[in-house]
Amino acid sequence: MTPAGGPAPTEGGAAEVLDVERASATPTPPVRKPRRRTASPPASTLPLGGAQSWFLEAITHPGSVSSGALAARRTTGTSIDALLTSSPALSALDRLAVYHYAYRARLIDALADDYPTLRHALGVTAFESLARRVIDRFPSQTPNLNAYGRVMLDHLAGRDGRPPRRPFLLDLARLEWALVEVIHAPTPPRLTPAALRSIPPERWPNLRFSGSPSLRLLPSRWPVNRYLQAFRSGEAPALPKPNPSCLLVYRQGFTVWRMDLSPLTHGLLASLLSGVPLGEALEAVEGHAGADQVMRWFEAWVSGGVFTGVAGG
Amino acid sequence: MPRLRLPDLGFPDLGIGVGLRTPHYREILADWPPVGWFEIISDNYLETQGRPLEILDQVAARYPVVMHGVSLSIGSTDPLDVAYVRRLVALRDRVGARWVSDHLCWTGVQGRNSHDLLPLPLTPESLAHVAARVDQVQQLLGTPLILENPSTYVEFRGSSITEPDFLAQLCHRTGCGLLLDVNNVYVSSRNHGFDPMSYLDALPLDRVAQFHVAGHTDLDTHCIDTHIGPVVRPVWELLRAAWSRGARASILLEWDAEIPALEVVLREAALAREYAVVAP
Repeated sequence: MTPAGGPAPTEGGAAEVLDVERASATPTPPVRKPRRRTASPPASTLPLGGAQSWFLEAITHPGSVSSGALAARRTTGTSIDALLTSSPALSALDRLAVYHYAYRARLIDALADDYPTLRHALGVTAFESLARRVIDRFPSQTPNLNAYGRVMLDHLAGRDGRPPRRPFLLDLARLEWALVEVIHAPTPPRLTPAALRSIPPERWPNLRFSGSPSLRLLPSRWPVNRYLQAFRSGEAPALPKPNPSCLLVYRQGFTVWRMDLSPLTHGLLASLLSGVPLGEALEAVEGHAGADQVMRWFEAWVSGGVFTGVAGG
Repeated sequence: MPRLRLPDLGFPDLGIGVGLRTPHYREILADWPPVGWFEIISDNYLETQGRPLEILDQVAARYPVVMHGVSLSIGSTDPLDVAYVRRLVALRDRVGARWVSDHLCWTGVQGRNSHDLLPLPLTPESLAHVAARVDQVQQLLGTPLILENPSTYVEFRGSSITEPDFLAQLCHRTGCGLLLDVNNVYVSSRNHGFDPMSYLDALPLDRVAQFHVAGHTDLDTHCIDTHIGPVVRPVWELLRAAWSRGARASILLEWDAEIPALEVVLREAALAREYAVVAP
């Protein structure tokens, strides 16, 4: 599972499956006993925009569909039976319930697809509760459902500048969202070892590298990659104790790789990716690693496509 | 109402196709199986510069591709998302998509998106509103927009136009085309108690650029358009009925829940040959 000529990921590389896809299908609500139908008041005269506001308020209401219909009535003065018809089998409220159920079910499914390991860490029920809070706090404002999952990080990051309540879960979510981002990021031509070798050695200390948009560095106080890998291997890992880690996530072709880094290699790579000249970055690791060792790391990163360009010198 | 003959849509009959779905990516890229054409969910490829687009480029180099979207929100009273339409145009031009379709619906209002295909009150006000927006989209596309009849679970008491009449008038006013989803006709007919054959009789079938067939979930009191499982016989019979009434168009099977192996999907799609004279 090692990409040819690239760094050897210590933990898995995989063709991440992207299951968070839009389709025009509707999630199926649980079957319930039809409600009793009520007598119809005069038909609503709400204009189109008013009818749409009514409908959206009702189906996105965090409570029951009844609560949603009542809230929409309070806002617009229009009752459900004035706006919608019943069918021979179902009341207007039963019919509206199809949309009320589908709204949250679709978004919960999208979040579950993006965060399967977080779902395991929390348990299915707690994850669904979390997802509902996320959805109510961050209603989607984008046509792209594939991008919606980002709001999970915003939610877990805490409120009003306070630290996150569950930092391990936040870091785990950061890793899972990084896998999604890396899939969607472009992979421009990488800096090749040959191109690097063509640069005269005296210029190397001043070289500044640009990193690939399809990589992420993820430092954490927890071993998040080990936890994720255990889950993906079919284990049921318990929540880990703090143990600092740093992970490099990157994509080569269709495959996304995860590589654990030591604090030293993380520091060096982070410096280079932030634009620190090569000579200055290497000075920081002097005394901690031999020149040959540093060169091996560097060559592995270049071969792995971590860098897309070089300037300076 | 007598209908003026509109210019032909000018879209090719591609025969039988299936939806391009992620569980099948690996097999498609490895084997390039014989498939007439692929329909993509446009939205999955609009805001990515990564792997989905790289895969689509390869698929589009070997198969005809058609774009089917879920976020145009043609019926919303929010301003038309022109940037979204421009992204559709860019993707269409990139992959050479044969046409671009979406649904007669709205997905949100006041900047919020439900990610659902929500029903419209079928009124003269809605018709004028949607027609104006279809005109706007077609200006940007430079080709007719293809709109699909949705599955619906409610009807508005203020509706004064039937859905097929609404679609007919929309075609007449704008020159748009139709994606006739016969599963949606069946699902909505069960949910609202109308005769699906009468629905077909009222449609301008010469405006049909494409068919959808799909499975659904029957809850007895109503049906849900889940795109699960094989197509039931009454839905296939609606395809036959539309064909016998003169509709001629490419046929696409949608299978979006509990997606089986590609081989199974293709075998199900091929059943269309029993109900329609399919282009080779």
